[in-house]
Amino acid sequence: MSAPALTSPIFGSITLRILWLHVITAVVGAIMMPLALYVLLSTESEQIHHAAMADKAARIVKAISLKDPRGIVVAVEPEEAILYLQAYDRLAYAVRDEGGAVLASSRTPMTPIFPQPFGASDEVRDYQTRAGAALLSGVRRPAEIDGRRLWVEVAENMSHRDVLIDDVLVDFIRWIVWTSLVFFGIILVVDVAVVRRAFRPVLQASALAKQIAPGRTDIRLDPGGVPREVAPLVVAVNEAIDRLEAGLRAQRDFAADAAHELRTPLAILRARVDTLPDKQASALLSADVAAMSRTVQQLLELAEVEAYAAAPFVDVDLHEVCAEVVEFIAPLAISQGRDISLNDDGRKMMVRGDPGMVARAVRNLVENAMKHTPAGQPVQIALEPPGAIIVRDAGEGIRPQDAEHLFQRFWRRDRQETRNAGLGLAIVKRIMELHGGQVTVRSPPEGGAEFRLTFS
Amino acid sequence: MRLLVVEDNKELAGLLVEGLKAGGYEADRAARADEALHMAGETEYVAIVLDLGLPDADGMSVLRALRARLDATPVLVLTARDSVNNRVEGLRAGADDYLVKPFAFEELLARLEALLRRPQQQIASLLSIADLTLDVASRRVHVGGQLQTLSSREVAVLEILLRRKGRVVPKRLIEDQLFGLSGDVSSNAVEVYVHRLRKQLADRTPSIQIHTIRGVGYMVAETP
Repeated sequence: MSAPALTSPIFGSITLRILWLHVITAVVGAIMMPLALYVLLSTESEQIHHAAMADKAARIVKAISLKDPRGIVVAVEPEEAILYLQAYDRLAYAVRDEGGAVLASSRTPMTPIFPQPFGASDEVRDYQTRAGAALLSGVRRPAEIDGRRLWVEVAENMSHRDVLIDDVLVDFIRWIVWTSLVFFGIILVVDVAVVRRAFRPVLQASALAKQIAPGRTDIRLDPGGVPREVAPLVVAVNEAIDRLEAGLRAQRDFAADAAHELRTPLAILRARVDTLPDKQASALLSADVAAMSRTVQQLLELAEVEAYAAAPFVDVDLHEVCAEVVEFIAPLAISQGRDISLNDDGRKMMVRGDPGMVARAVRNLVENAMKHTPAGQPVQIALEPPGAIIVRDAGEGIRPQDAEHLFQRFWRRDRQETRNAGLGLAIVKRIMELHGGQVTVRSPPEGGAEFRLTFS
Repeated sequence: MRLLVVEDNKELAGLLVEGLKAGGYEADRAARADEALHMAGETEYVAIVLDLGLPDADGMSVLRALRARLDATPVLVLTARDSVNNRVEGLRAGADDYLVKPFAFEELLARLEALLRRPQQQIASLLSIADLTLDVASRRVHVGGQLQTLSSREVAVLEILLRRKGRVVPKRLIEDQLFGLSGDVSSNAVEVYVHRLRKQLADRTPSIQIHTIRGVGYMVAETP
């Protein structure tokens, strides 16, 4: 049940996907918005500049009067004339004839402002030029004074400290860039929080779904809390658990029914055998019935652990479980002349599990060990921290080629042996799987076999 | 001594009734849950042998109904369902004992005997094994009819073991009974007493053995 392989780790997560798209949006926004503003504002300021220059040029044209055949006089209003003072170095004008010669200018010596050649049109046109470090920007327009064609040039020094518009613009744009970055950043953080919050019920539902196991089919996910887009999945999962539970119940019921159907006839057989007048035959048959009962018992045990459905795991003391199993089996072991012992210091050893199931696993191992230990020899049970049970017998040990088959159902070393169904170790293995632990076997050098139950 | 056998399988019920008769009991038979409840209400039975798989209802419901009407007749449950959960459920519902099918008839008789004797068993005054007897009241121990001299602690240990003969007695239980909850027990005190007792008995009779189940406890049994 591993997650499907994703082509990109980023686009596997909706949160990351949203975040990623948002970062792109934020970056593009943070760049485009100030850029657009800049373009807008600078266009606007250029138009204002153009209008102001055109206005100034028009005033100069009005102030021109002809003098002599060649000369002209420019009579600018005094308050306007202050702006053209060379010392102030902000505005300048020049009036030129068609040949390009400067007839009048605010500058001394009188020089043209714009070096560009005259155009053919009658328009007021924008020009720019450099004078040293300063950028001069302004207009040139034609003027007809008493039938004579003149060119009027007006320019402003854009680098002058009183020309504020560009500085303001740059400051403003810089401010906009930072503000928009902060703004988009805040939105990003808020967005992440919102998305996470929206997905929290989904994560909670997932955590709950993780607990679902054959033993815990009572769990249902709550479709109320999850986002509407995810709810159908949750509902579908719940329905899948319903079907699973029904299947498991059918299997369990089958085991219980089979138990009844097999055991009652066995009980009848047993009762008949017990009341036979021939005591010798009775004893032999009784042993056969007992062996068959044991096989049935183990089959049902296996069916039960396969369809395991019990209370959730609790704290189990392995010492207590082992002591109980030994207590239970010791009378039989002693009557068979076998020695059984529990080698531990009596201290608690806690694991999580189902005590009945753990006891069943230990009992099966001990019974198996008893079967393989000759009379008079010991079966030893030991505990090993943090959570392992070791069952050692004094039998002939495990052949290496048998080790892998040992835990398979119905496997016996000797197929002719009919008193043993070969289910005990399969039961042990299954129980350990249910506990997330494992059962292993080895043949220690001193002989016999050593089974180890390791709990996680 | 009249018993009620509640078992729907005719053959098994017949064998049970016959076997119980051979064991010295009178036995009536009920095949259905309602029948069983009716009969238990009419007659004072000394014990009820109850099968859990009945055609009209779960045997467990019979048990609950009995207990609900304050009928304290000892109930021995027969079941084909052997799982820890079923067992716990049965005992919780008020079953006195539990026997899984198929069972040896001797075991059924032994369990019934234990059930019927249970109240008196606690005060049984004479405990015995092989040729040994222990008079609980007078604290006297006889082997082969001869009075033995044992220390009071040795007699106490012997009594605890005899009360559970053939079963393992956890060491902790002996400690608790000998020294109470004082907790002031040296770790090998019980071992010392058992060792002495074993030696005493070994000198006097070969037919009794006290087994040590290392790490768990002790058990007294007849030598096979």
